[in-house]
Amino acid sequence: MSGAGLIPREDTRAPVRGHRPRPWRPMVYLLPAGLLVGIVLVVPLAWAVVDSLHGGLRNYADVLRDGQVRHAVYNSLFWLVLAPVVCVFGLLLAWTIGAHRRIGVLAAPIAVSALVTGLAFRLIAQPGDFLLGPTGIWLVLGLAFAWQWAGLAVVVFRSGLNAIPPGLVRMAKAFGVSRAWRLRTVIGPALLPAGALVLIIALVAAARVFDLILIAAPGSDQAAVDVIGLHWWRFRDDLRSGESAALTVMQFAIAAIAALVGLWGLSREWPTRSEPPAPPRKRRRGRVVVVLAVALWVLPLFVLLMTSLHTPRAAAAGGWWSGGFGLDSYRRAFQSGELAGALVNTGARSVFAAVLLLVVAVPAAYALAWGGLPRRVNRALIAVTTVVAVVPPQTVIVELGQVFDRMHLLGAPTALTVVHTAFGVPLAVLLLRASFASVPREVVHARRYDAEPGSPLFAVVRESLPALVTVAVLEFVLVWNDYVVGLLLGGPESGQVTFVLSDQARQFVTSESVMAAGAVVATVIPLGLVVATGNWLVRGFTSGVGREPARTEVRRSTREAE
Amino acid sequence: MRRREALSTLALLTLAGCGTGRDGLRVVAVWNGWELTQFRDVLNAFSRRGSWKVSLLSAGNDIGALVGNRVAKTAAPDVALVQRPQLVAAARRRLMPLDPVPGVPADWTRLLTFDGQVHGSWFKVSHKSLVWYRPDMLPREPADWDDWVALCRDMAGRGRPPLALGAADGWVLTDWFENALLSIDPGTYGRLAGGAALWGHPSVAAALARIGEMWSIPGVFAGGRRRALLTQYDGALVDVFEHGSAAMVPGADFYYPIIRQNGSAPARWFRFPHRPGEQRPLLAAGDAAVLLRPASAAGRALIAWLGSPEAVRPWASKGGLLSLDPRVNDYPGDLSRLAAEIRQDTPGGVTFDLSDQLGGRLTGSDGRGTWRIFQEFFAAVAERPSAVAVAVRRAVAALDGAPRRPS
Repeated sequence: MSGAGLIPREDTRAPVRGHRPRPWRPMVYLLPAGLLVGIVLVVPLAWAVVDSLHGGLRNYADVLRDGQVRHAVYNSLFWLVLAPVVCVFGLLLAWTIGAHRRIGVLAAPIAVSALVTGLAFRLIAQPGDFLLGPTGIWLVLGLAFAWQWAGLAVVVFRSGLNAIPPGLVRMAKAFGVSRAWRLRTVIGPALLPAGALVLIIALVAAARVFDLILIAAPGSDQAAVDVIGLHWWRFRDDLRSGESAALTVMQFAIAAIAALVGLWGLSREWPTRSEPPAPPRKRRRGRVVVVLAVALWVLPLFVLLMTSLHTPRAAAAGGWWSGGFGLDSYRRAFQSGELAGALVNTGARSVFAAVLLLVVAVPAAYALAWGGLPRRVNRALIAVTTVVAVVPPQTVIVELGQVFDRMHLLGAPTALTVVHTAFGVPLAVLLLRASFASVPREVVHARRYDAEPGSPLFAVVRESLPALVTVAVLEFVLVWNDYVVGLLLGGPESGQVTFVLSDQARQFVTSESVMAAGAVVATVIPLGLVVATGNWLVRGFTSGVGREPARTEVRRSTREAE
Repeated sequence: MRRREALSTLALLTLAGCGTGRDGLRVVAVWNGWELTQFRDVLNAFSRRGSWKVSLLSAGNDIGALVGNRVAKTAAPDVALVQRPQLVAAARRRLMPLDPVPGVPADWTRLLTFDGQVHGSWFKVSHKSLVWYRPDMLPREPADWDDWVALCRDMAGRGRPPLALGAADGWVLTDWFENALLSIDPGTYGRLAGGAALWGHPSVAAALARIGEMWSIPGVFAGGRRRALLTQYDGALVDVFEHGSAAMVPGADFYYPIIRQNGSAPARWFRFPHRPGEQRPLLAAGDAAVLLRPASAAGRALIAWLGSPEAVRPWASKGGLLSLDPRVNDYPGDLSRLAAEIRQDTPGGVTFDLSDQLGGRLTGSDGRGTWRIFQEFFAAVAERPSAVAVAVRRAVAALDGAPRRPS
């Protein structure tokens, strides 16, 4: 049976009835995800659009007549421009660094909540007053955002670059293919799908930026750095319901347009690997850059840790570098019992949401990857998924809030978990689909058409474990670090860790070490999870480009041995 | 509405069984940190008395959403501690009417009376017509407003900034304005608080010009105006009582515990200065407990407890809380004088924080309403001391035009 892929086989056996593809099966697989996303995201979104169009475009015109709203719109657009800039920066850094083992550290900030990031950067900026002023604050916010997302881009692009078969590049060079053309035909396609995914993740983060601004900018700057989502939250009681809807629909529309750009990259076929990666080429310059980058990347967390190790009084009077060490801030952070309760609540919610997400998203992603849906339907579904992935909580929360209020579900932990899961579904499906689609065709076909036992779904899942781990870990981290969804839907009752931290910002200086202590505790858990599963995450994120061929090969050869 | 109902039914199908039974009493408060811990002790004492199960949540700045928000709803608690009478007024349909607490001055009860019914009970009040100072850095207490300005000008001229200011918190600035307006024209203050759109009144401009006079003195603020705008009120206290970078910080009685916990220098206070012949301002604020519908027996018992002297005594003895009950009298320092002042019936009635009584677009919070207007006014006068008059005109226009949509 050696060389099964080379010799065309003629299967003379009678077709096995039970293994025929069933056209309705992909529909069944898509149903749970479709229902969840439909009810929690699509229907409220549609309702918001309808609400905003009540009386034609008047609501939009009225809202945009407000200079503060226009200012917030410009700022939101700025954030969306920042996202690709950060991705490109990540690509350049990945290029400069060369292949290094340690760059995984750079992606660690994705485990840190926007709130804690904002807190850390405010602590860094605090000694230099100009940095927190109405102009300097943009630098602080931009750097904080770059810190959170550029590392992920570096890691993903780097493994994309590593996965390019060196033989191919050599061959292209030998045939005199120009540098630009090589970039376009060899390197670009290898980076594109994973790069598009990173871009979408960054865009979603940029479109939802909220708590980062809320905590990093002092009250007197808040108006200057307003974004649509924040503006709506500040003024929602002053707006007519149509105007409120118009504002949130605008926030969604801006994000959706940006996401569709990323979609172009996603809709490409994901290449499957054939050749094991060449041993990474180390560059001296790269090593220097890595050391520098890692030092810079660690700084915010270091400042946070140092601040937390001061007594509240010492932290208020001095900087994170000065004296006055003690564990008093940790004692104070846990004193009221609120933090401990919130840690338990948030942890339980995050675990449930991650598990629920896998149950819902895996069949849907399988249907999109291997369901045999018509190409056009498939593309349309992916497009819809991408667009839904960027729906900001503000857009759907009013309707959901009304429904939940009627059902007495406001603040109910289970309801909030379900909403969180729904928000996670689109991105999870995109990620899983990419991974599933890159599973070798034989794996599916063996189960589907040949006599190999077992369901093709489980075979694909087995081959894509890194992507599954990635999705579960990401969802855990997103729910753990959430601020907006909990704030808008659950209120303080949802017992979210981030609330306990942000509440103390009203006395920033005298509470900074207590906040930092809480932030350290709240960060250790997701950070530990991300670090522990780091290798899986890199593989999961880049499964389209960086699949581990060794594993499949080994399995195939053992099978042959049998 | 029909479409909404369809939506609810649809959601009901998926989320059925997700509801939670609600047991125990849920209380939300605006405090955090040390104050929240104090309040938790108050609730613990209550739980011990009647074996009630009470859970306390800090709502931060978002208490409005909890008590009566119409756009994005969040879960409603059983009892809430609310700082703004305006919020009580707006949410009165969701609140249970209460019996007036005996012994509380009628003026104070009137603040929470809407549609002829009392909708809250004062738990904690505060005195916001103070200037805290370091006796070792201030040569003497000023006799009146003009003396204070001269004193500050003199100190600033000698390169020793007299004032620290937490201008990053907009309410710090509105408190200045309210004290000035109360001195100049208590009548207009009262009408504004009653909801009259009187921002074009000359007294408003006069009050703005008065505080503008102080704010525009070059070198008057520790670290300069930029730093003042980035400093929160607790930071200003650290600046004065720990770093000694300024001598005075206008503020409230609840600064006392923060000074004690974060400063090493002695602290004293004088009343916010006014001009001779004017009425001495007494700016008051407070936190009222409200009972949300449907009210339980436990909720009623808690409201009654919060209005009793036993409940507030432990906190009052540490400072940071003034009670309207004369039986509470073991305040630290000379805070008992402030408690006595705030209980007294003033001729024009209690003058409660104006910005806490404004609704709509003037509602102050970070980045909006009066907070923002006064931060812009502050930045303008501090940057261009010669153009105070222009800044005053602009602030009046902003206050006057706020109810309409800005463009």
